[in-house]
Formats: sequence, C-alpha cells, structure tokens
Amino acid sequence: MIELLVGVAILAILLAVGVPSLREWLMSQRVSAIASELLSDLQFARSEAISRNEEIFVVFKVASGQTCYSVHSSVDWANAECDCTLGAGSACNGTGNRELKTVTIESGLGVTVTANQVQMFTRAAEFQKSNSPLTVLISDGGTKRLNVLASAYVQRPSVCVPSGSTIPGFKPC
Amino acid sequence: MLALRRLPRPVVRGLSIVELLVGIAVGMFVLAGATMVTANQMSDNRKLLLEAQIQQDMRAAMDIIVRDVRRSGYWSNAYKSVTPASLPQTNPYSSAGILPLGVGVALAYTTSRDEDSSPAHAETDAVEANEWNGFQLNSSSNAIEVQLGNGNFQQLTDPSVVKITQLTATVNTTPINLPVCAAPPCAMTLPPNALNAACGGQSRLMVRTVDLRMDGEAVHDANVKRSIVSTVRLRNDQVCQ
Repeated sequence: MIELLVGVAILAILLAVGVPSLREWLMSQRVSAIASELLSDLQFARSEAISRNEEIFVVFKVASGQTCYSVHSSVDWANAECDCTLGAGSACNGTGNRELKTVTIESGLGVTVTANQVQMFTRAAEFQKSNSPLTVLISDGGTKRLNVLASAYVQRPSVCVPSGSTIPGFKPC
Repeated sequence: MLALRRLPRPVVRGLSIVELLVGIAVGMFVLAGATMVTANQMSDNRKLLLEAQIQQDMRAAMDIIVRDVRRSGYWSNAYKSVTPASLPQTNPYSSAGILPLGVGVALAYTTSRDEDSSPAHAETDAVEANEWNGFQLNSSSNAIEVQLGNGNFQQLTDPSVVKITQLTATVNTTPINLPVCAAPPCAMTLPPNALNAACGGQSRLMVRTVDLRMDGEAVHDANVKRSIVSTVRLRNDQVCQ
C-alpha cells in the first residue's frame, strides 16, 4: 500500500515537472509556426507585387474568437480593404479586390497576432514612397513572443525575437 | 474445516517501487528514441524552410533588379530627343543606361520619377536626387543594396539568412545601322554625346541587354548555394548619329 502511494507520488511529481515545460514548448512551437507562415505569406505578397507590378495589401484583424489576416490585391486605391473575419474564400466579397490568401488563427490556440498597420507592398518602382515599416507581434500572452517585420522602402520581411522572449533559433530584434 | 483454515489469505500487492522504476526507465528509453526522431524531423523541416527562404529572397531581389534596370534611362519627354521642331535634347537620364560608379557598385543609373513625385506631374528634364537608382553588393554585410535616391542605399536581401557572394552586371550593346535619309523630317541633328564616336558617322540604334548574375549561400550552412542568372533587354534604346 505504501509502495503504491509512493509510486503515485513519484508519477505526480514527474507530471508536475513535465507538463508546464511541455506546454511552454508547445506554445513556442505554435508561435514560431505562425511566424514562419506569416513570413512566407509576406514574402509571397511582396513577390506578387513586384512580378504583377501592382499593389498587394496584407490586412490584419482582431475579432472575437479569432485573429486573422488576408493577402489581397486592390483594383484601385479607393477600394475598401478585405475583411478576413468573413473567412477564406469570401474575405473580399463586395469590395472588387482579388483575394490571394486568408489565414485564421483561432483564439483557442492561445496565440494572438497584432500588427501596427495595413501593409501595402508597392511596385518596385515606388519603393521610395513606402517609408513606414510593418511590425507584427505574435504572442501567447507570456514569454513566447516573435516579431515579424517588413522594412521601410524595400519592404523586406524578416523574423526576430523581441527582448524578454525565449524562443530559440531566431535573431534578436 | 482444516482445509478451509489452510486457505491462503488473498494478498493485495500494489505496483512495487522497483517495477515502477524499471517501467519509467523503459519508458524513458522509448521516449528518448521518439524525441530524437521528432527533433531530427523538426530540424530538417527548419532547414528546408530556410532554404526556401533563401531561394525566395534571392528570386525576389533578382525580380526587383530586373524590373528596375529595365526602365533605366526612362524619360517622359523622350520625344524631345527627336523632334525636328526645336533643338533636340539629349536624354538627361543616364543615356548609357548603366553608369559605373566606383568600386562596389554593380549598377547605377538614373530614371525619371518626376511624374510620380511632383504634384504637377511635370517632367523637369533634369536628374534630381531622388532619381538615382542602382544596386550594389555590400562586401562587409554580404547583402545586396538598392539605391533609392542619390547615395541612399537600403538592404534588399536579409544578411541573417542569405550571404550574397557575388553580384555582377555585364552590359552588351548591339548597334543596328539605321537607313540613311537626308530629307526632313527624318534628318535630325543630335547633340554630341559619348557614344557618337562609336557610331562612326552612321545613324545607329544601340540595343542593350544586361546579363545579371547573383550567387548566394545560406548563413546557417555554407553548402547550400544558389545562383540566379537573368538577362534584361533595356527598354530605352539610344539612337546615335
């Protein structure tokens, strides 16, 4: 009986040590997976803008139950932005824009994506006009955070770790 | 009764500590193996991602260079170089398309941006600071830089992901002889320029192509090398006489 109790106690201690670190690892994997996907989507948007010679927008939204972003082209400047909360395939309904990609991150994952601006990838000939850099924060609300950036002018996307965050494998911001 | 009394008492035995420890040890071995497989797979996945990123970074840089070089020497008042009504002018925007600008600069040229920037959309017929373009390989950061305005260079590739080892641009000029015609309006007097001597007194169309080559390698693994070769036909042919 005592042996059984000791056994259960040992198991409980092992689990108590293991579960939080597993959770941390899981969150850092989620954050870096979302950051990698966003990075390749930004690169895609940028090369589309250059090869099609038209502006490509990336619009971020935070809504209840999800955060999301949509990559779309704009027929002209006056057109409304697409709404990624409408879901992939219908984000650009009613705007006349062409939707290229929509990504939804359910809030159940515990990760939020917040951006400082609507990112416009310009044509290569208009690099001089775009002088405000994009900063996207991907966070689990704790120490697992990554920044996805697009530089001013040439709009080159990159990923970095903000100070205070503990995700290995990325350069510090 | 005797037989009944001799029945052994049922013994309740839990999991003994030794069994538990052995169990955990075996479990650990299995877990270690599984973790190793997963970790390998994840690092492979990450490598693949980085390689794709290098390819994408270099391709995007090359696309930008090709598009921008193609419109080098653009002048919205190009008609002024041939109009017989007034004195023809030389294209103020780098007539040679590509100017060598010292060590380290692979390409430099000027392109009119007057239509973009000025509210009146008026061509000024002169090169302003924001009309300088070009690309260079920065040999200390190993990144390709784009010139946005005179002397203002911005990184075009990410030096933390890809190390660009070489960027070269070779200009090939093919002169095409134009038919000689004496009577107006075809006859025109072009102002002298550097290329006139090469024309040998004959009206010629200078058709130019630029061969571009970019070599790069991954920062995390020098064995991952990529190179991109591209040829651009410049849009702004030059006529010399």
